[in-house]
Amino acid sequence: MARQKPPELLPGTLELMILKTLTVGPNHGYGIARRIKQTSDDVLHVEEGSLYPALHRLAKRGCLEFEWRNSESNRRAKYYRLSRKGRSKLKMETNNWSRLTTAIDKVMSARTAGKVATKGWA
Amino acid sequence: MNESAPLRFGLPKFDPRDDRQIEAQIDDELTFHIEQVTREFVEAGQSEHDAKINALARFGDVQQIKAQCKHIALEERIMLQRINLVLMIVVLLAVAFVSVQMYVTQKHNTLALQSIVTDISDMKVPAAPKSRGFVYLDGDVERPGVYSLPPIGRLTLSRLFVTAGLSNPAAVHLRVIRTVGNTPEKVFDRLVDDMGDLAENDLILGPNDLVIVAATKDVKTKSDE
Repeated sequence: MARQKPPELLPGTLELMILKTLTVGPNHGYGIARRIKQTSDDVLHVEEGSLYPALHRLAKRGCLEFEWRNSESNRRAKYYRLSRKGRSKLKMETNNWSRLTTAIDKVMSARTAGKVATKGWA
Repeated sequence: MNESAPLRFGLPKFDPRDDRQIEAQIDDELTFHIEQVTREFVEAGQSEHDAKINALARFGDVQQIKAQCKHIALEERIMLQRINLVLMIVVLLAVAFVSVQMYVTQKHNTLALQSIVTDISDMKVPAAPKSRGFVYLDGDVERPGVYSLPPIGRLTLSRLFVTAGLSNPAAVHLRVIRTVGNTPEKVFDRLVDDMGDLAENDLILGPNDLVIVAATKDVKTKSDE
């Protein structure tokens, strides 16, 4: 069976997922990517080419703080954690996300009703 | 999804790290990621060599990602550098403009000054008349001495006495000795009792003429001796 192509992320969703992942605790870039992959049941593969610029952008905006410390493999790694600003951004973005997914759900479920409405045309 | 950054007020935040530190940290961060993926592949059964190649392949263009991260970190600094560059160009242009203007003004002033100097030098200022020589007067006169020949007109014997004044205007013996080359020569030697007569038969005096006036007949000069 051919492997399914991973779905493309909507713009801004990567930042939202990074913020959400870091609510569990501080983590490095590799850990964040791995966790997203695991929690999405291997559906979402975060590309490193998008992950690191997103992490740096969030840190630059003050949503993330970072520190250098030894990882579980005893190797120095950059650990990111949520700042107060990051938490409020996550809250705001989560609300936006809920509204968006609800709206999309409504559009998707309205498709059937549309089909019903066209029945009388024939 | 809202992609834009929240509004920020006040001055932008500057990364206190220098360029090298930022680059080194980005390097460290990305290398750590590649190492972790390599380890993951090794644990999945790949050889160390294959795991490393596959990890790098999965990572993508490392240099491009580094450049993106560096650009994000140095965004404000790059912007400030650009502003700085623009300001520097503006200042340089202003300095160049002022310099050119100063140069043009100075050149204009120099030309104007040269023109004034030329005008002044072209002006014909009448030169002070030069004396044509001297006449030496001695004897019975009120003001004996050296008299200069006028640059314009003539000095005659009678006119000389008008200036010098005769002590005894009644009768005087006048003698004029003129030196031609190195030889003194008497050009006038007679008794004058009437100044009107002298004016009628006047003698034009020349340079270096020696006029001797004696109230008596016995006029003695070196040439007589």
